Amino acid sequence: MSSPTKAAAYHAFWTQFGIDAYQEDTVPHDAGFPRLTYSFSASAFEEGAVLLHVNLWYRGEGWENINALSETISETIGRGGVMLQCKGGCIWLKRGSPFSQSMSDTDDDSVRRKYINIEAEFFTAD
Amino acid sequence: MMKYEKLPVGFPKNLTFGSGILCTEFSPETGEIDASKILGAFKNDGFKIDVSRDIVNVFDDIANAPKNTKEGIRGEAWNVTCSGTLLTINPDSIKKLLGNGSIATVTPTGTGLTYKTVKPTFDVANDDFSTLWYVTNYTDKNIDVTGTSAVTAGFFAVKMENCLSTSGFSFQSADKEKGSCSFGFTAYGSISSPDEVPVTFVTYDPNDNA
Repeated sequence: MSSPTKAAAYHAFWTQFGIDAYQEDTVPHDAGFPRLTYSFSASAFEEGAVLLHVNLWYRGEGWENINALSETISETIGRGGVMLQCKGGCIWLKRGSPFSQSMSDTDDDSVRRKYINIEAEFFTAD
Repeated sequence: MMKYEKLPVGFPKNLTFGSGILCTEFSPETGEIDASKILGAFKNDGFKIDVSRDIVNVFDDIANAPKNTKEGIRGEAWNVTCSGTLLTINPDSIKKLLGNGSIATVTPTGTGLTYKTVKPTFDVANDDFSTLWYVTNYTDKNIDVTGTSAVTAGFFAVKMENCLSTSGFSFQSADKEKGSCSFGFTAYGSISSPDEVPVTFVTYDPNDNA
């Protein structure tokens, strides 16, 4: 089996948390809640860490579920980060700082949003 | 693409990641770490491990011998040191940083409390020397995969034997900062095994055992 592209490996990582995950430029108009959207940029070995962000979107009154998922993601990445296998090498994902921020949606009071920072290093030749 | 800008094939498998840990026990057979054997929480600027040797050239004082010829080189002592910064302290780590000391538990009469003291001692005893392991993540595979008995996380470990603190206890506090203790250990050989260099490097690549 051939290794996934960098983008496919990154997408696969975000699909493990039990909610729909979309690259932020390709969110369907009818996408429901909860969902996760992420930015993606690629780099290569020793060409600098890439700062990426992820948004969790929930609808409801409380923050319990979205806080729980935010912590699950934090635990999954852990102190040392996680390594994603991809074509030509791997991607090292680390928690950014601050890791998670709560945000509101000016258009909808019932939307709960978490803005998550991720740092990625690419260990690929190209 | 420029011709001489290539990377070695499979290079991610030879990278180490993270600052790693320093502990008193580690099993390369299982890759397991007992968290209670980790010396403490370390500052995130990592560890420095230096392994070097003293070299002498026995031809140096021969006037008509060529300079810097390999035939005159003799290897002498190996110097093995490990340094870093601890952010946590407890009686055991204070004693370890002192090199040699004694820990006592004090229970003042009538107070109901106990506290511990650590007092340096003059003499270095045989049991003041201990093995230290530095262990860090190695290769592109570095998580424990559940449901398998295989060791699935790669590691790079350095076993340093007969270590003694040689930098002493050096505590630094700062306003609105955590206190920290820089440390330095030296590994020593033993007269009982004079041919043994007190350091061993271990690499484990799960890709080789898949």
